[in-house]
Amino acid sequence: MKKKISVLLLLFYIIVIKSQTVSGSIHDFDDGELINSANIIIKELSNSDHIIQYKVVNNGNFSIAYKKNYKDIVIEITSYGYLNYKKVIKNIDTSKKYHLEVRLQKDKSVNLEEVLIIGKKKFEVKKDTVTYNVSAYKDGTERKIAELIKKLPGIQVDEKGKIEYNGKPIETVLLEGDNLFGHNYTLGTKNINIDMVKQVQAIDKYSENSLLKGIENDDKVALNLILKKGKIDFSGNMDLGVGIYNKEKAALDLSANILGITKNYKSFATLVYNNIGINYSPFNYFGSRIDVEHASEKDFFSQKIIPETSFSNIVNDERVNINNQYFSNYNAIFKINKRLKLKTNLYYINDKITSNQFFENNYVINETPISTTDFNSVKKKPKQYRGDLEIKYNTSKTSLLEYYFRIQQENIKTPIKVTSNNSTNFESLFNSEDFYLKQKLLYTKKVSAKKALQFSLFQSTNAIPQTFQISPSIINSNLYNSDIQKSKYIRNYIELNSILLGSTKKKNKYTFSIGGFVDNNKLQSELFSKNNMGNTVLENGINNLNYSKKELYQIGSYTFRYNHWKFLPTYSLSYINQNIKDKERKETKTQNDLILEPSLRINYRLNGVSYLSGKIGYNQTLNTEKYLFQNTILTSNRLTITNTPSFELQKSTNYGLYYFNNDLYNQLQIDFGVNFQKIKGNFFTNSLITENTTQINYYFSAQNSNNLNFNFLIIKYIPFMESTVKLNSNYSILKYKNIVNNSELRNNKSQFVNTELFIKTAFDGFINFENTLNVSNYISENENSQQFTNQSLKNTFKIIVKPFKRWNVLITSDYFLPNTKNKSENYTFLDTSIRYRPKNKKFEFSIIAKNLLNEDNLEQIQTSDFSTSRYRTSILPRYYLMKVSFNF
Amino acid sequence: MKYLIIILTFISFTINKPILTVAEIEYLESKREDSINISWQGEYYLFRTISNSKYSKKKVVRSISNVEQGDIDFNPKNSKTEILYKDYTKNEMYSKDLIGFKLFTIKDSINIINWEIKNKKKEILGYTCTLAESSFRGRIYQVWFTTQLIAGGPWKLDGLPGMILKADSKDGYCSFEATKIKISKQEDNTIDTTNPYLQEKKFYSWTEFKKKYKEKAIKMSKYNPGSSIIMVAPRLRRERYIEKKDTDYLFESDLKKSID
Repeated sequence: MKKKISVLLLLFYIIVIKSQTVSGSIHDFDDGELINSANIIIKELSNSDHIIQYKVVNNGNFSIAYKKNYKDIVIEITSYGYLNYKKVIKNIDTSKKYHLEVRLQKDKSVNLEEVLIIGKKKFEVKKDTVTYNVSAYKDGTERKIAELIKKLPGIQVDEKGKIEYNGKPIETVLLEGDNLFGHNYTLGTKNINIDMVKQVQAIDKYSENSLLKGIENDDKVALNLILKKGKIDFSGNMDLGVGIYNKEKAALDLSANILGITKNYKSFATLVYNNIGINYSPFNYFGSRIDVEHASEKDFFSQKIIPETSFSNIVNDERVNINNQYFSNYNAIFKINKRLKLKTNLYYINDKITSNQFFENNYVINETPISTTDFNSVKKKPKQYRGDLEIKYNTSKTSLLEYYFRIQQENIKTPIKVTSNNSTNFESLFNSEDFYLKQKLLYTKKVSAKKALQFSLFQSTNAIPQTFQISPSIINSNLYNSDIQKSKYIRNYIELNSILLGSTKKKNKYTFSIGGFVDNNKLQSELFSKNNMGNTVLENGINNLNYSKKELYQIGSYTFRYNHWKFLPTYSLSYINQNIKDKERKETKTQNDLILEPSLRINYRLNGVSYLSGKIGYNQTLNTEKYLFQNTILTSNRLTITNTPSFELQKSTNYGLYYFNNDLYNQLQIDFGVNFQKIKGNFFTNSLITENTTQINYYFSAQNSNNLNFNFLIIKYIPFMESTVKLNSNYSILKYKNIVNNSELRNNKSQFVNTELFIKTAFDGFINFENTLNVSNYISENENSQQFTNQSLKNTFKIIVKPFKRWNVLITSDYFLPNTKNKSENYTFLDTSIRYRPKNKKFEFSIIAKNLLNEDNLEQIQTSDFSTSRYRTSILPRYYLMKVSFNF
Repeated sequence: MKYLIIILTFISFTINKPILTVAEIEYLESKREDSINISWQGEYYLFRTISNSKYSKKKVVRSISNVEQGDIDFNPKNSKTEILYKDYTKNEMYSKDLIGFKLFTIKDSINIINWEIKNKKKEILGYTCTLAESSFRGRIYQVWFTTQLIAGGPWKLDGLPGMILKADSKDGYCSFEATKIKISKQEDNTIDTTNPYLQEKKFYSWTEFKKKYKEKAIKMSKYNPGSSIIMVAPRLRRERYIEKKDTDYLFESDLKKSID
């Protein structure tokens, strides 16, 4: 017995000596008191991610026996509200007893804002930023981040990709805090793969110029993409999609995107080719060119006298855009040193859009019916080269110098074959070039903590030479073979401006700016007919004029807050000098105007999630440069345009009332808006329509036209149905005037009602549904004659199936009824896609089939105050595509 | 002068209202009797201050009892029964459990589980969580805890250097999942941190409770007044009350005897 005990004691002694311990006590640094609760984590130095031992310490004193013989360890001591304590012990000495007297410092940065995280709809709200976790909103069908952004609560995206947050259009989409894309943010959202993005942040009170933060008005919003860790450095993806169209043509969708990020360099490059209707670029050559960037810069662009062909479309552009697009783009930000930042964006696009169109117009003018038909076979070939450069230099801690430069060259070649009224065949070729150069120098000086001064110099040149050629001749087919319309519009613009921005003690903000610009427009056009013997210029077929506008302006605004109210009065005082020198008609005209444009916006914050907003404004606008040329310009086989230019001002009064409610916690969004615009004085159309030609003259008349618009939106997540329901309704009434075929001045009214109902389920099971029903009503009428109406219906039904863990099946059916009174004329599109992603997540395989029912055309119906038009267009035929995506 | 000092200290005491950081977490507890289908689901609420925590039931979401087989799940309506109170300064944990239809208060230590921390990470509700595993009173639990939040966890699961946001028993019997996290600062005097069990007279340790449970189980199994209702005391609910190998509790053989 004694032997046993002594052996045991010996063993115990050995064990005690061999085992290592670390003991100690944990105190508060400031008052020395023992800390109530703390955690001790031991990690091996070589693998700092993995916890090998831990101990929860109550009442400050601890003693930990190591489970193994560790060599190098890191001891981490944490306690809520204190800064972490780390101690590295290398080459643990088994004979030594380690004792740590730990003093933890209070963490003063533990922020006072509440942190609230809700599962199911996962987002986090901190101060002015709402962070959405991408993984919580994905349903597996999304590939690019744009498809996910649509689903985030509080964010609305329209068909063009324009994003609005909390009812305000966003300034840009930042990438890890840097503004790489500017207004062309769709470049990022359409191309960045969803796998690279961890979170999307919506930032309220966004300020691009950090010197102006707190000084400039804080109602700008932006989105920020936070990438997954490990996705920084160098990552990207490559997509290879190969398929076939109806056994005839190959269907291809090839793209490569590379994202390169280091501490001082951020870049995103994309290279794509596709002929399946997708537009990866931020430029819209298919529809009308109102992309986000164009809209913000339209004041500096020349007019395209002969308008480029645009295709109107009521279904998804991807079905109708028969394209052949190469697009490549490179964006990079270089942080050269602490003060100097350089950004460059390079674009190249080369596309070929094919379309077979059928137009049928049924006019009823002065009780006389006129019918026209046109069969157009169009091949629009746009090509654009563009380079942007931006240099930002912090000349001092309180001043910033920015230089912007852009140069772009665009060529659009559009050959068209027309059969008019089933009798005459035309062939036309339209060449349109667009050269644009702009420079801007902006200097910002922060005069004090609350005041900043900005000086800017802006210069731009835009030259648009165009040629439209059509044969046989329209003017006189007996004598001539073809007609040629040449036009050249050059605009030179230079502006000097200085702004004082400030904020007062009560955080009210004001701006005061003075500036002036000189806008020079030169327009030359020539319309002539050609035959074997030579050219003959049409009488009144030459325009040669110079239009210059000089303006001196002074603008002021003040933002005033009081409790829940926010008032924003602004005014603009301008002195404008307009001058036209018509060298062809040998006329000169000058006019000077002094214009005052006041406006007031009032916001009332009802509670944390909703506010009311009202606005009232008075504007005096000059539209002179849009309607400059008096002599004929031929733009198609039917249409010739002339203008009666006028220096007159269009005076409009705008009233608006809006209600916004964005309640993320209750998954509810309500928007309601009313807008009324009273316009006095406008350019109206005087049309002369015959079976073969249409002549339009734009002239100014001080008549009234009014617009009234109602908008209602409600989005709610309904728990018992496990679905999100969205109802969006829009109602507009336009009252306007025109003259048709030598009539008296006609009073017209046009009404448009559009209602959309959207339901999306969020079941936990393997199947989910999404349905969008859209009903549109057009009613156009003239007070003296009949009504032209049309109601169309569109329904999209999607089934999202996840049969197994890594599989994703999507079936979409689009049903379109262009005229609900004619149910036999309907279009059904069926698409399906099957996606498989293997475990390693680097690859993805998909099979895509579009337009399974092989619809070959799509018809739309439009009405005006004197006509009903049917428009039929060719669409992308059925195709099957096999796609492999590779992420690296 | 004296009065001035008293008044000043009183004022400074009232002005300097201490502010505590509070973590409020909502959990979804699920029970699967057959390890596959959810038979019961409830929403639970954890209120954790720097020194203690309270864990209680908010509402029952789903309850599918197997009435055909004659089982009735008894859940007493008294709200106090469901507060699981942990005092981190004293390392004490108070809870209530049933023997038959009677409630007993059990006093445990908080750090009774010997977790093994694994090298696997997962993100839950935006927090990086690490996997830990251990057996606890008859079941093996796999939990995910985050060091970014103060230590704690749902039910009796605790003792890790972080907050447990998800826990599952390996056999699928029970699971806990955090669905909502709120961290806020609240004034000390508005928070009730008193131990709701202070007024109780008798506390049982786990060993004492198990002993009592077995005694009662044997008595109940022998009680057969002639009616068709039999009181069954299972050896294992969420925690094991009677060991598998225990031969004192011969319910199965007794039942056979009564049927034969």
